[in-house]
Amino acid sequence: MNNRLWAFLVPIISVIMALLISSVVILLIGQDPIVAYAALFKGAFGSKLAIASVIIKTTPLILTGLAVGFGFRAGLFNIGAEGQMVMGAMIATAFAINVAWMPAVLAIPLTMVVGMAAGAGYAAIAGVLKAKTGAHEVVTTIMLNWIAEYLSSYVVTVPMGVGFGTPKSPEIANSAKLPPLMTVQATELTSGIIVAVIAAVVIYIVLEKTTKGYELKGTGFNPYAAEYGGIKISQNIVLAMAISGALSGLAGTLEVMGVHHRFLGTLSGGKGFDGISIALIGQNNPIGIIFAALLMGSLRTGSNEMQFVGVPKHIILIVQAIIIFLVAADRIVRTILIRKKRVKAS
Amino acid sequence: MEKAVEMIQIVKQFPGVLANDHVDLIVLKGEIHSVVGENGAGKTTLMNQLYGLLKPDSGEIRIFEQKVSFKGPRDAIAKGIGMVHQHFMLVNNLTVAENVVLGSETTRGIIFDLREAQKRVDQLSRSYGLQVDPTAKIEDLPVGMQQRVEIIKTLYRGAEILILDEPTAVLTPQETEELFSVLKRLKENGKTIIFISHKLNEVMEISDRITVMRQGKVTGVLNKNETDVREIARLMVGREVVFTVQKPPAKSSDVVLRVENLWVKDYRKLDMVKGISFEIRKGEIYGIAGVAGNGQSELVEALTGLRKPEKGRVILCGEDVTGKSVRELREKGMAHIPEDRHKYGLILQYPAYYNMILGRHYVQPFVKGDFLDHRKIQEFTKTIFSQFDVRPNNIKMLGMNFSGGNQQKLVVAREMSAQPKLLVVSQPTRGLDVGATEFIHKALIQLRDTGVAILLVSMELDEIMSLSDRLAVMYSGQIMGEVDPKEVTVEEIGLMMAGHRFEDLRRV
Amino acid sequence: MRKALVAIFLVMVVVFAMGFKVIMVTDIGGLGDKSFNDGTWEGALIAAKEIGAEAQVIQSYEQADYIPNLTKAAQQADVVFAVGFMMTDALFKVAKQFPNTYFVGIDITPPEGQTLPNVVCYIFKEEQAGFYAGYIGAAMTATGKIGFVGGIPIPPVERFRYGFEAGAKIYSTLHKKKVEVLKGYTNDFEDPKKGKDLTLAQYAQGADIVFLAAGACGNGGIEAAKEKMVALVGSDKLADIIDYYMKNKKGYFAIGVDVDQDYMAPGVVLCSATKGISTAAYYGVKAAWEGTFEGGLQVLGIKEDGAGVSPMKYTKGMVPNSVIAEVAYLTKLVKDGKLVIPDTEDALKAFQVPSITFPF
Repeated sequence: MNNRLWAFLVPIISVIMALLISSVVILLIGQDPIVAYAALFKGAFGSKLAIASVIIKTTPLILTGLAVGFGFRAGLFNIGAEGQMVMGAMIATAFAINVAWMPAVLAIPLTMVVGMAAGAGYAAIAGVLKAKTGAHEVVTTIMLNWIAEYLSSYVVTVPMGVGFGTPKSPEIANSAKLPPLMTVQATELTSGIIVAVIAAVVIYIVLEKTTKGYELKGTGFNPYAAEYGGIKISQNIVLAMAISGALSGLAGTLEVMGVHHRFLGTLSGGKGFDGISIALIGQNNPIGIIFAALLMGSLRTGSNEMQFVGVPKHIILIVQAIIIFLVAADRIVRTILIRKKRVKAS
Repeated sequence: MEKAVEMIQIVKQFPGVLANDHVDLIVLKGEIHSVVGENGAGKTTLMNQLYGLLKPDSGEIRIFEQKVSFKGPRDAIAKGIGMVHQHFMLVNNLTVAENVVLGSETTRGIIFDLREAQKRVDQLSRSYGLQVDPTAKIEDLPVGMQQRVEIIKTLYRGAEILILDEPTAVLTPQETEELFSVLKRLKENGKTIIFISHKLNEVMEISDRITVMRQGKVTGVLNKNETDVREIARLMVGREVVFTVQKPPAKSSDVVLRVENLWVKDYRKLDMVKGISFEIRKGEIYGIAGVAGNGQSELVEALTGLRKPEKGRVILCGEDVTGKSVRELREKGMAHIPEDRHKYGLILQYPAYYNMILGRHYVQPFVKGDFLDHRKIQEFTKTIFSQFDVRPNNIKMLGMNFSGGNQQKLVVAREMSAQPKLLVVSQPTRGLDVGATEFIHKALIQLRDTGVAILLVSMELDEIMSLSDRLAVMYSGQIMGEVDPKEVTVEEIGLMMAGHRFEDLRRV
Repeated sequence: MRKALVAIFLVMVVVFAMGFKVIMVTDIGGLGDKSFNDGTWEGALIAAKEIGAEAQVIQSYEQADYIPNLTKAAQQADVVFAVGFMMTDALFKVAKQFPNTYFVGIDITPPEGQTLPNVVCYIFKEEQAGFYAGYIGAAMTATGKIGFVGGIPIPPVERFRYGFEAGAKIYSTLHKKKVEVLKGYTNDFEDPKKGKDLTLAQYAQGADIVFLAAGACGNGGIEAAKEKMVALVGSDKLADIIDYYMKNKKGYFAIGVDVDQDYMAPGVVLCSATKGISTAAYYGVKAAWEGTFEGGLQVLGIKEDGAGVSPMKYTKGMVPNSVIAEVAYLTKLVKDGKLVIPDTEDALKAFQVPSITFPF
């Protein structure tokens, strides 16, 4: 009980402390922190446009956070969310360009499935390599990230590239576009957020309520005991990577279906890596991850407004870094405390 | 007589635990004094304060009738206290002499005089009957020898008072005998020895006086000549303890497990089990004794599906199950109490009720479709908790927060409640106190009497001799002989553990 | 008298300019790239100062920021700059929503011929700037190999390359010197490390002059050139580099891009293929202020000061006078339309060097 309260308080306190520490930095560059934070808040929640922007940014972050967090729960460090996101988006786009003949009720879910399958398949490569050869997933997923990145910039310039301007694929069929929840000027609030929240709830249920979740978490905590309990470790590694990859793939697919309506070479923009921070802040809990992603999304959106009052964007990167540092430091402190208790008790 | 150690009204508090509650310990010069008690009784805490590793919250320590206050082990060593820990603190690839002088070598000038060190070590070992080759490397020495090196190390630093923490836990009966004669020799030379143990037979054999501890308090100080094992056990546990396991003879009938010419390699690809064959019948405990590292672990792993055998056959209830997975074996009626409950037996980060279904987490009645049935699991765990008296009675507590004995109860309870046909048990009471050990022994006998075949692997000779219906001794991957424990002596078992075949022993 | 007039004019301007605001939204490269974004900002600042307007810059972290940033800028400013090819789609989406705000796109082509009256786009004949790099590079190489390091192969980068290859071909045909062109892309405009690695790789393959058309990535390439040159010469002083080159006729050089980057490593940056970015930015602001704003696409080449070569402040001494004279003559041919530098892959393949006789 105490623990749960703690888990909730730590990120909040971290945010407040990070804002306090950053206000010193803002003072040092000769700006007023109150003005800056007022702009930050206004930029994130001050208008319909602001809220829409926050939600647009939050949607993929929830999914990449879930991808990484789910991996962590199963004992895997999936750094490849970035690459899986790109692969998901790319293959989903290739599919969605050609589904004009399908009704939306069919085209929308099918496109999502294709994108998830692409992400899952791509991540499963690292899973199979780990299960069969013991190759560490950190190394393999990083390498797969590069492959995905270069492949995507090739794809949008040569085989799929169209038109002038941003390197991009053709637009996807109208039937595969997610209906916007709200349109504010040029900004369309995608309904992808609903899908992302549903995904978080589903992952929560899988982890906490199902036999598979029991096996995956058990493997993550103690693979020896899991094996002793008749759980097939290698199968679970591949499955966990695939689910993690499916979530990343969905992140990319929703960006295509709801925001850009086409595949862009720079679509992921580091959101796969942001997933690592978000999983950490959300303490690998699917529901916690929703809030962590929302926090990150609002900080990022609000920080654009901060620039209008003369605070450079780097300040917000400092705030983010401090938050993550404080959350991580809490883990360190708590780990040490638990260790000490154990030593004394024995 | 002069008092070597006086610990007066020692209090040591840890968060949530009063580890030492006004403890008095008086050790006379030149005696062997045992400190006994169950795990968690506060023996080690007390000794750590005497050795300067911990500072008492209150109370006084006197060494040779002189008040002391240690800032660390260095101070304690300077006052003539030496400690031999349960886990040896030796550097494996250095020689005996190098290990002995390690840590005190700088006090003898900048240049390290190895020859001088070897001479001193040789002298020490000869005068106390501690034969060790000073030029041998530690990694080449058997455990008993390594322990001698530890003792020499303390003597080299001028110890007058030696603390030995559970010194016999790692020794064969012969090695234990040798240790005891060394201790007696040390005593004759005027050294004072504090002997920590929970093996009461040994305590009775070696000590002059005995201090018994329970739950942080001293419950008795006894003269060896005026007491017996029963009294000590009562003071330790707080009630009467039944010592000899009461068991009716096994009603042997059908063969449950048959192992034929089994060969198993370890992770280094070395043969660890070399052509073992045996049978276990229904309602029988089949014991495997031996010094650790002679292939018992690999045998258990091969029988429980954790390791694929190289050659040979394993037949469970008439069905060939060689090389089957853990899950298949469990489904066919195998259950397994592993030797390392932390590594294999439990997922420490899971709550108790999650641990209670490990291995059966996907079968009725614990699931509804693909979902866990939390209500049923918790109900089941509650029943098991009261049946096996697991404490604290909190089924949601994480595995890591239970004490060692209760963790083992969780494992034992889970495996026994699976209604197995074959139970493979490895080191079931390692590190457990008398109460928990007694409980687990009883439970094993009860299970046997319901007709389960039990394979018991243990390094504890007392345990394996009293529980087994038939007994095999393993040495270097082979069975040295299969005997009826009632018809062999401990000495014979000891010789078999050292590599002698039973037939050869009886022939002489 | 004249001074007084100017003063009165300035006062008037300041009064009128009250509230006139210019906001520039960068792409993810951001300020500090020492080429493209910095160039635009410089032009916008000069114009803003002249008319006394307020100027501000907003940087974007990611693609998804373009629309919200442009929207917010449009709500506050009279002229909004969108800088960079990658912002094309966002610019036109937002500009449609704000018909009363002027938008200036730098390096942006209106998508599929779409034009809006409140959006002026400037693009540049990069091939004409690239031609200088290729011609001078081919003239100066001692190894017969010159390198091209591009960012992401988007059209402006590719046009630089077409011009570069064509320039090299022109020199090699006119002077019968065999010149090979190595090509590579960093797939990035931000990370100098990638530019450095690729540049070093091309040096290793035998090139001695590398043209860096890769935004901030190119800064790493210049660093690579400097390291190699300093290792060769044993000094980073301009005089020593020139002495060494005059004696040995060899060295490692980089060619800068977008703006005059010669100053970044004097003597090592042979020349820079420049685009009239700040000129365009300047005219964009002025036009909006003076009310002469006209939507549409402006293509700026050598003739319009939209493409050129840096004055080679540090390296002029190393480049033979004949080469400088030839470049000047060819510039005239391009301006007059007598020499057409290819601006597509096909045109490059079909490109035949016309017969040119220098009048000297």
